[in-house]
Amino acid sequence: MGLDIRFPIGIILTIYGLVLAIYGVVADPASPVSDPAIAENVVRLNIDMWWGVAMLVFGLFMSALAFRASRR
Amino acid sequence: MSLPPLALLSDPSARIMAPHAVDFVIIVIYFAMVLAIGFYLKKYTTTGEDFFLAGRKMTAWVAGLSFVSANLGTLELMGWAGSAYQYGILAAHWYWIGAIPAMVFLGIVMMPFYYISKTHSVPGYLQLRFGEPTSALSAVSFAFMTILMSGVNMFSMALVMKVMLGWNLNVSIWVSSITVGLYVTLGGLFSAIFNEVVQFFLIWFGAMLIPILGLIEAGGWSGMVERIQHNFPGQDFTHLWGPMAHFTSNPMGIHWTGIVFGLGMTISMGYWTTDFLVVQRVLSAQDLRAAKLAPIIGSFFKMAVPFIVILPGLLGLAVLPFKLVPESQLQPGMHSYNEVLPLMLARYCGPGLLGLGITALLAGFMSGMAGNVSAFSTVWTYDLYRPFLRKSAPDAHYVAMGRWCTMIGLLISIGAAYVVMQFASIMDYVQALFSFFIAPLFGTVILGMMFKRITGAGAFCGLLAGTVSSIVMFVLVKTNPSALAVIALSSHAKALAENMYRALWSWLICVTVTLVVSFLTKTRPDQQYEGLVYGATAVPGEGNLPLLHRPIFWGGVALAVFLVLQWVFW
Repeated sequence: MGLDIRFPIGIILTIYGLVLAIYGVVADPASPVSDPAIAENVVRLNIDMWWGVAMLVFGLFMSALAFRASRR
Repeated sequence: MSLPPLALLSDPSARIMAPHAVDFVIIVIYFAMVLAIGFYLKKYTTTGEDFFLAGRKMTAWVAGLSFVSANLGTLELMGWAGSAYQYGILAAHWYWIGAIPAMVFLGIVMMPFYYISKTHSVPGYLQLRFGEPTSALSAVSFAFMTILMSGVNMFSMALVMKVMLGWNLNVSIWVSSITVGLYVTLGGLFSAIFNEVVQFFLIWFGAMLIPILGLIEAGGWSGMVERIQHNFPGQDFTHLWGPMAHFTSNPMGIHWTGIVFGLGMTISMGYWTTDFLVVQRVLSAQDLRAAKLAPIIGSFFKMAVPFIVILPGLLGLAVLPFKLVPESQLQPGMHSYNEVLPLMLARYCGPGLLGLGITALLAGFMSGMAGNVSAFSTVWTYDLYRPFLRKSAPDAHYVAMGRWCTMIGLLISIGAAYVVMQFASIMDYVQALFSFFIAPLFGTVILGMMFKRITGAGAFCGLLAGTVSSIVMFVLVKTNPSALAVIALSSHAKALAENMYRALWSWLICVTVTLVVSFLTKTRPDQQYEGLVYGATAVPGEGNLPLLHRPIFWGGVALAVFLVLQWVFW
């Protein structure tokens, strides 16, 4: 692995992407805020899942770049 | 820049959000990751060059990203979002004219002298160029400032976590300090840089949803502007230069000359080209081309930061159903300007994403502490301990000193954090304290780099004069308010404006005194100029590189994009 910074970035984003995507699919996120006035009028999509997938893709991409570089 | 809301400390039920288990999972993973990186990098940090300068192996991208990330702390994120809520898009000046020209200038003009001289720090450069007195003056003031800033970061983080989540102040301080202390002691600058770059990505992923969802909710830029004008009639929050023609026509109380000459030319130059925290990252680059390119790469990202910092503040003006108030007018149940970023985070992010956002904020604080502590241990070990206390010891001794110094520096910061907790008004003075040193230091360094005739005596006197004059002007305005009209050119100027003009005058005083004293004294006969000054240094040209590889090309592109942004938001 050496000193390629793309590895830690890839690893942490992949892990976070998985956590968020799985949570988004499995759970039904309720509003965590204590004051409902803060979150009124906001349409809640299942952003957790979509953003999790986005992070997962980016994380895997980074890891792949780092892996390719280390094999050369 | 404003401060976290202290008044809510007394109301324990006033936290903004209630995290779920998944949020804690995300936070714990972050702590595990940074510690793992620290342990992994230990085997790469054996020599002094490894520990203090990351082996000088960093690529342009890594050096550039950590350069901008070292500056992108959470205090800035939250404070500037709050300033954007308070002043509108004018806050973006600190990200554009207050950064981009200086970063490009650092890369193209100053990096050759910092890098070719093979120095390890800014005081190190001063020692080579001017001798011990100037170097010691800047080393002592920097060491003091950076440890104080580390403590302020620590305390602010604990406060923010308490206000947002209800976490205990002591737990926050100690858990984060021990984590930072461990990973910097183990991996040195490698750890600090790696974790900063990780933090950079976390901040973007954690915070990007807020402007995206906010713009969708508000109906695009024009929808947002409409809503702002509906909520706050009669005030202009969305123009960058138009309202700067008079002191009284904008809420910051600044004239455009203050922004251009005070902020753009003096304060921002002083900070970006001589603040060792940021310069250290560029010194770790693997060759001169990478060193020149790093700040320029950083400048592109810096230009984009207003998207996640300023825009949420503006969106807060547009979409929040209640109005935020200044810190001084807080009542229970109300929120202050600085809470706009956590409030927007709570508005759009459910569990999971909230954990990511909190982790991004935590990461910002911790990488700020790590940066301060690693800079402190470098300056102490190489610029104070080695020249004055223990001149010749084997390299391993200095590395051990560096590791010990990291832990000790951290303990001192914790002490500083508790002191700031007792006397919260200290935070008001920290910004002023910084401003005393950076503008004169820029004067000293740039004169040293450009003119051979500047002598050590001239540099020392100039630096001292500039710093002292800045302190004097500050005290003068505090004790005699009519002095404001003289120093800041108008009695309508507010604190921000006063800072800018004071920086300009102290820079001019430093430069004048330096020149006068230099011409009255002789240079050292054995003065080594090679690598330190323009005219005595063989700076490799860029002509033999293809156009797209030349730092100066990308510097030009950065400046062009910057100018386009000014025109778009005029």
